[in-house]
Amino acid sequence: MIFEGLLNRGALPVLQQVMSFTEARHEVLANNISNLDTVGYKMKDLPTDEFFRTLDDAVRRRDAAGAGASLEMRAGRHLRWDRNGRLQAKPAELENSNILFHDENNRFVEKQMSAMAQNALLHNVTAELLRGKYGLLKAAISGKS
Amino acid sequence: MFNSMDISTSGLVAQRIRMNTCAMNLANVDTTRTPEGGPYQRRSVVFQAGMDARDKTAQGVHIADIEKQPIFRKEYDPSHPHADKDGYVKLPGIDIFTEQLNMMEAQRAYEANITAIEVSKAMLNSSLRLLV
Repeated sequence: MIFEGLLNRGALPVLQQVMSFTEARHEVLANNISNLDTVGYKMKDLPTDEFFRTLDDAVRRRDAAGAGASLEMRAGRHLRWDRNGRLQAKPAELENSNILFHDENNRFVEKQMSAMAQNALLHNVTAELLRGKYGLLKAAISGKS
Repeated sequence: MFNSMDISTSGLVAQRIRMNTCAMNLANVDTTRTPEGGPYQRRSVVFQAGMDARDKTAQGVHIADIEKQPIFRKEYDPSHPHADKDGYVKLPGIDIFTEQLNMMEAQRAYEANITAIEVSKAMLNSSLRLLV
């Protein structure tokens, strides 16, 4: 298919991976915030460094393989991808985190909120970039700018 | 993405129930008789992870139980109709400052969940804008 070749090249699949990751991470962070007062709950997160390392590796591997190769994400410690390239994330409890309160909860509201804001910004920037890419494609297809 | 809004909503519901419980405790700070007999017993909520008791994924939060705490204080007031033979009245052991602090905490947690929903909405919005 001509469209598959068009959509699986360049920055598009990379941006799509970033968006699926930010969405999954946002869910985990929202879960943390809803459990701020739950006895015994431990804050969880998805490892951003692991994700970006995997993404970097995948991009390098694709570039080395030459034209026509698709982006292949390899499973790491916490992040896995199914056969269709969708993210199957397993949230991990935060190590080295805050002091433990008396109710055995290690809440850290400021960190959670700033992580959420950062994540949302990343998501919005990625969406905006993706929109620009789609706009270019559309302009190329329709033949007018 | 819609799931993260459900998670935050479960937080909102749980915090509102906690707020209701605090309000009930404050309203009954001097109640000496209840339908089940004896003074009012202080209620406190127990949070648990998961949308409900059957949720195996443990996403979101719910109120597992509203505990009754049979803690009482005694005041000397012989003219009170519910005073015992020594002239002491048994009252619920409710500390209004604890309750107020609890309400403040519930309010802040509610606001945190609202913020999370706002962020979810913004993210969803930017995702949906890809369509146009």
